[in-house]
Amino acid sequence: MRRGHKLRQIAAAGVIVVLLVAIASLAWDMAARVHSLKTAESDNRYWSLAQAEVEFMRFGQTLLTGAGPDDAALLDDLRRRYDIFYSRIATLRESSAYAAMRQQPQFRASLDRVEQFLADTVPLIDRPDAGLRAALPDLAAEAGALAPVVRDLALQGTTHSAARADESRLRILRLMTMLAVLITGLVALLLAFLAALLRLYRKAQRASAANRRARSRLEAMVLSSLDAILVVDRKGRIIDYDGAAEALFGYTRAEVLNRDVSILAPPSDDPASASGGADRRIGGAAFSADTHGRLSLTARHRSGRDFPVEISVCAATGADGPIHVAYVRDISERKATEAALRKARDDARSEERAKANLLAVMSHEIRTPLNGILGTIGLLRDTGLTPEQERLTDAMQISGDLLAHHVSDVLDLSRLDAEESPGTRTTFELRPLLVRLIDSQQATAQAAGNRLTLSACPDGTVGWVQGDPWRLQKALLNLIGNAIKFTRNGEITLAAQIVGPGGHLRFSVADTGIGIPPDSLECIFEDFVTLDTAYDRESTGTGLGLGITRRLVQSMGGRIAAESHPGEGSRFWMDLPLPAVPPPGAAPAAGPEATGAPAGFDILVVEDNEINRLVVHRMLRKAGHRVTEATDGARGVALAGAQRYDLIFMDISMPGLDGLEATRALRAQGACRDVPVVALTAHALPGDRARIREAGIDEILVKPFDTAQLRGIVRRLTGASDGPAADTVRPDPQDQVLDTGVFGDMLDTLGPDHTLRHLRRFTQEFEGYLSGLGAGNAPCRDETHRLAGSAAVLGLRGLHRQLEHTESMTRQNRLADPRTLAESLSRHWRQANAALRAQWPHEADPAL
Amino acid sequence: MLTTPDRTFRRLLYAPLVGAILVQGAPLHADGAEGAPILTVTGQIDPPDTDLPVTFDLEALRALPTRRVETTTIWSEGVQRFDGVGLDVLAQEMGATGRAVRASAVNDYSVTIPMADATPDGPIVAYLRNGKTMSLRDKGPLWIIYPYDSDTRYQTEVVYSRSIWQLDRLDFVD
Repeated sequence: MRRGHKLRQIAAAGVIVVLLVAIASLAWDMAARVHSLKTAESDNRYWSLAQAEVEFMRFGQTLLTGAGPDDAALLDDLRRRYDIFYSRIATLRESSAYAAMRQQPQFRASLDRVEQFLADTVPLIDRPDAGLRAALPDLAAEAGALAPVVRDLALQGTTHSAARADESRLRILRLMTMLAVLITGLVALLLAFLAALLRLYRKAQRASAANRRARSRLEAMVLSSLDAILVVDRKGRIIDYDGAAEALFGYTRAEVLNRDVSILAPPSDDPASASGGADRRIGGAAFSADTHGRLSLTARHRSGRDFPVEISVCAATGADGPIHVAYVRDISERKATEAALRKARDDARSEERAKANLLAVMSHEIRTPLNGILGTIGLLRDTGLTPEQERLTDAMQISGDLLAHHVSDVLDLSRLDAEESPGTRTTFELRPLLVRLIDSQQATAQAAGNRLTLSACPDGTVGWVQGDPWRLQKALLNLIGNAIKFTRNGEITLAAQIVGPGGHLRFSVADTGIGIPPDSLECIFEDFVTLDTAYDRESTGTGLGLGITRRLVQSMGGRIAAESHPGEGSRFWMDLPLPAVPPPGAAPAAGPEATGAPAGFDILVVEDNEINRLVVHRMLRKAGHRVTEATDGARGVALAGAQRYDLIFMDISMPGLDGLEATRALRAQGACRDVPVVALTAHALPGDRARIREAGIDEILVKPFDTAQLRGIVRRLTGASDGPAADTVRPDPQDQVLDTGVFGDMLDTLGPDHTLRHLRRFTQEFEGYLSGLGAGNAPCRDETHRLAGSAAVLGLRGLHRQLEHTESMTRQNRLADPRTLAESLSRHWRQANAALRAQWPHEADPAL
Repeated sequence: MLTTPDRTFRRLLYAPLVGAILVQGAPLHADGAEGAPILTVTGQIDPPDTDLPVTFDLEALRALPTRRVETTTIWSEGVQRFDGVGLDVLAQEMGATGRAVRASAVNDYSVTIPMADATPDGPIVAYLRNGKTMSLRDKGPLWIIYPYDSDTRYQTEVVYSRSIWQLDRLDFVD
């Protein structure tokens, strides 16, 4: 379209040029012709020719008159007539006017003939009178013969003239015709141009009208704009400034025009922008950064007051190069509002944080003395109380237990909230976990008259899965605990099934309890929600249980929901991504012991607790590894410096060089500086974990642990990784006297004989310790620690907790009376003994 | 017409007389005899009270200031050199007051030249062509020559018609 237009233009111009050239050449021709018309190339040629004949006739006439003997005058006249004729002919011969005619052969012949006559007669004419007179008759005869020739000469002139005139006329006619054609063409073309021009003019007029309308609209828009408008040229000079700007900046238009824009936007104090000056800030930097950027900066009022503005800048083209149009808006109010909002939000946040911190600290701080109180209550029971006192002590015990429960809820909550990692992923077998869970809650369920069953576990389909067993167990425990709490003499069923592809499992806990009203169903997963529907006030919790469960589920990437019919029961279910994995161990036929760990590693175990050391040693050796023992940190470092091991297990709390220091030492130099180190520890608060990792430890294995966990760690750290590295935390069932899982493991690992030997040794050591306390000696911290570790290895959870508590009290020098402590510990010891007996596989009394 | 009937009459009366004197007193030979009159001037000339024609022989004309014109002509080939008396000079010498001059040739060819033509760079009455006197056969003895090459306005048919050759009479008229 545009191309065609251009081509057309070029063609038209070409035509015009051609026409103009043609016209010019014609005009040149015409001019030459006109010029030649202005100057005659001859006088009247044809008259001259005729005149030659006339002169000849006169000569002839004079000749015919004849002359007498004395008629000299007549001879003179004859001579004169002859001379005149002669001069005429001479002219015809010489004059350039007759050049064309002389070219004609006929004319030439006639002229030659006449000249011949003249040549012949001149001698006669020039004779003296007598001679001439004698020659007259001859002369007359010659002249008579010449007459037709002279006549012919004259006639030829006429013919020639006619031809010449015709030719000239034709030429002029041709010229005129061509000129007329050309001019007509030119005029036509010019008319076409005129038409085109007219059209363009109309178009331009329409465009200009549209332009005017647009401009007036724009002006109206600009005038009605609430924002101040500045127009700044390339150098940062203000070239336009509107009424709103006058109001905003306090300067009148006349005051700022042609001034630098920096008077409106002072240079900032910060050196980066100050170096470039204000012009860079509002001009250069902002303007060149973006063709339509929006930015905030500080403007200055005429009074010197600085205020925040938001400007949006557009680049445009002005008469003298690029200009920038800036819309400036005072955002003081908005900034103030923003600041207020931000402050309110920050305040709220910090309050929230403070509250959470307070909660965590308080809970932790409460737990320690609470343990003391509960321990003391236990001791109090053994002092021979009256029934009345017994009843009061029971009440105290119940309230204390409840309080302890609440406190650990809150601690769980803050720990979950603080945790960043999505959780551990290890490989575990689902069914044993569920069975153990049910078993552990059986007693509580029965106490409320409930039947707790595991139903429809997809035993054939779900074997080993990958996930976080601790969180799963904790979440299920909460749901089961909840169900027990709200169900009396009913049924509670735990079920697990596969939902959909991708390894999603649905766990559901259904009860036949009192149910949840529909309007409460939505909020039960929020924190601190309690429903006044429990059977008794004592069983009412903090309202954190389901909140914690929700967090656990979410941290595992799953979701949780509930449905309920008041009076009929409730059903809680959670969907968790627990992808099925092949059972660890390439050869299933090898039995449960050969759980697939690649065997044959050199492993160093640094552990001061003998039982612990032995258990770890046995477990590792069973898996086919070679184990070297070190009884304290210093020995461990020495061994690690001398020989390279594939893996090192390091107890954290050791007398002398503790685990952290030992790790730092062996990391600093020696053969094992880059060997993975696994911490063995009984306490794993988040802060401790960070400290442990900082020392250069790769993994943390929290006591008590079982064979599977130990093997998982070995597998992972020796390169046979089967999941992301993570802490391995053993489930920590609340209020357990004996962890049957751990105890069973030990029994498996060591065999009954060895286990019994250890139990006996522990019994010996512990009773010695007790008798020391009973004698009023303050507990030795190291001994307490060692005993706590042994208790953990044996799965004696209650005792372990009590000893840990004692150790921490000892550390803080806050232990009141060793005898009271001895009472409490011996009570726990009795409970532990009972539990051990119950778990013991043989009927025979182990004679503890 | 300023000429009175009386003067016209007298001129008619004398003209043949003069012609007779000329023919008889000066044989018309080409080389022009010494003292033979070759130009007769009549008309409104000074002194006004005489109606007699004034005659010039070649010497008389040569005594007047000479003016040379070098030009081509349409009647000849190449540049020609003419020497003669300027028409304006001659008119002034005669005290001519007329607005035109009637020039006549030996063969009675006659033409009227307006006095406006008689300017200092205008026509001359030539008596020499290329340094030689001109015979009757050579368009002599006198030839009114315009400086044709000097100006295109002298290259017109009117000017050519005024370039009278074989001139022998000048009559200054109103």
